[in-house]
Amino acid sequence: MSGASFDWLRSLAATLLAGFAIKLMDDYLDHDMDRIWQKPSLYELLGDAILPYAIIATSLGCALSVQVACPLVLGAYVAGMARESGARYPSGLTAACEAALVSAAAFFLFGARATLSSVALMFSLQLADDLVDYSKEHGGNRKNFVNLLGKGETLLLAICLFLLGLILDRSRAFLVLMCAPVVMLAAFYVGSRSRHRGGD
Amino acid sequence: MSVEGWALLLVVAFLIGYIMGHRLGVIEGYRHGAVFSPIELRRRTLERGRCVICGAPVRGVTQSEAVGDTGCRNAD
Repeated sequence: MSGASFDWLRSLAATLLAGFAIKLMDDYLDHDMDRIWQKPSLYELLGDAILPYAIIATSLGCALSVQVACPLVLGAYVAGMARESGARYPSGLTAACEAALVSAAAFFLFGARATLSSVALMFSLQLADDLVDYSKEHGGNRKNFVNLLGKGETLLLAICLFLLGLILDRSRAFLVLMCAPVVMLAAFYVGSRSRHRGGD
Repeated sequence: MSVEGWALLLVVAFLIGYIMGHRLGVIEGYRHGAVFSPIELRRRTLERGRCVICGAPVRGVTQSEAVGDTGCRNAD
């Protein structure tokens, strides 16, 4: 296998692992709301073990390619903070302050291009996920961006942010585009099966 | 500028136009609805013979009569 293909495969694997880590953290943080809206969640299958698995996925992703995995995880954190405007965290900081700090750290460690493209791509995925939730009638959650912005606005903004990520870092955008559906479908399949087993 | 840049510019322009159009449409729609709703309420009331809001019967209304004596203020 040539060096270029091996690097590409490493990047793909790192993106996939980062995606799973982000999904695991997201399901952990939203498990209460997911239970109310009966949305398939990995928390139903893994319970509190979801955290160690998320750490392992993050570690393996960063070991494969820290330049690929780490900005994505940090970008997902920043994008997640956008829904929590005004909330105050155990650090004493507001969501906006925490997002600014994490962004600054990512800028310093990985550079502007990687940080901005990762934040834009993760935000775009967040909006796409909200659109899917809204269409499946899980959209009653007040934090859903479709409720805040509107359906058309959310869709167009998701496209804008994806294009921005594509302009800033084309390879990262294609990796995210390939891995995101895999992660979402796998999590949906596993979450749905765990719910059916629990109902037997 | 690259193809993606032009595509982004296009989508941003579309987004701005969509937002403006949606907001103006909501305001204008509300204004039209405020004008239209009393007429529509009256039409449905007279068709059904009962007030659509309170259910009070409409008395003395036939096809040849324009206005009937109703027990309901909403049909006035």
